[in-house]
Amino acid sequence: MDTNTVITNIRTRYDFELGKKLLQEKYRSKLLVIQQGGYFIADHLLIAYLRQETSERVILQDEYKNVVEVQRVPLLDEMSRTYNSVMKQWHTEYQELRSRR
Amino acid sequence: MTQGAVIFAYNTDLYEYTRIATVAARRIQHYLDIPVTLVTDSDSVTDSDFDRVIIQDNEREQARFRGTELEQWRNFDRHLAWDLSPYDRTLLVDADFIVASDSLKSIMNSDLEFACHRSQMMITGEHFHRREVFGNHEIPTLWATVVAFDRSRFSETVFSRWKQIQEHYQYYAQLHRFISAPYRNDYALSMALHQASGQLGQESSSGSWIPWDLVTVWSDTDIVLDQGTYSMTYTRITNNLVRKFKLDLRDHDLHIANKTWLMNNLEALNV
Repeated sequence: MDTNTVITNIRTRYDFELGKKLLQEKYRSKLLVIQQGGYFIADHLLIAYLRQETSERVILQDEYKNVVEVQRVPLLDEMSRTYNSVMKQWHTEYQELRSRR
Repeated sequence: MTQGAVIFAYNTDLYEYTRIATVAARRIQHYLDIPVTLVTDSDSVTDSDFDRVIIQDNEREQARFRGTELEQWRNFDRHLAWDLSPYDRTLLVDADFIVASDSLKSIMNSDLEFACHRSQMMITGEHFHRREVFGNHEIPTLWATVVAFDRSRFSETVFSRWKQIQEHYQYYAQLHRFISAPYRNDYALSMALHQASGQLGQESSSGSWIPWDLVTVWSDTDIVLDQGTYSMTYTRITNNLVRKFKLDLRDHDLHIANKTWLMNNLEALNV
């Protein structure tokens, strides 16, 4: 191995920012909840909305811009379950990524 | 309702696509738990790795130089997936799409009539969430690497348009002003879906895309695969300087364009 190659290899950086983006993409695919004819990404905004609503049924716009009427509680349950489980895995892997920096 | 994947693989002088497809099929069975049908013209493939092997003649090939090597491939019959698939719900995948997670299960278990990726990112970090257009009429590019479809009228229309566009590809290239060679299934599929959706763009056809990026690794990335973790090294220009980066990746579905690397790592990719 010549000196230039050694220098280049030493200067190789761990691509933390891309790693973060790839994790986001990876876990986005796991946050997809398909229920009651709609396609929803489980995120804190939708969960917060479903939690503060009191009606039995709510009308939402899904990932594909379809307007869907859903039963609030079953969707909230599955969204919360999915969100908590996926975010836990995401957090674990993010910590591993940070430690490699 | 039956579910399964279909892979088209035709060997060339340089690459044994059927061997790549065999490993891809094992991974699909492992992670997505669905059977796989292979469409090929090779009679040397063993049935044991596949649900079915469909022999299909395919003589027409394309070629380009990659460095000094002449790379050939035969990709002219993907639109036949509609006719050849034995399943009610089909996942049509390229042999070089390496499944490493159960993410696509949600698409397969959904009631989406037709779904494919509409954005991709490259592992070098360029074009994150990139949604491309092509031709003078700026038709949104869709990716034919992974396509899920059912037996609906809409899917049938997309595939019949796909076939018609392939047969008259030169005409469409002139009409929309894009380069006609090599033939690209991505473009044919994009135009087919565009037409099937009433020429109103992807947004008009509710649920025709996979809601995350297709992650592609091009040949300019060095990959070392060790126990399911890909260690990737690549260069990128940042602040006018060429810099070398590295990244580790695991449990991530990847479209690996480097066929030489795939051929050399079939054992490591096996599950």
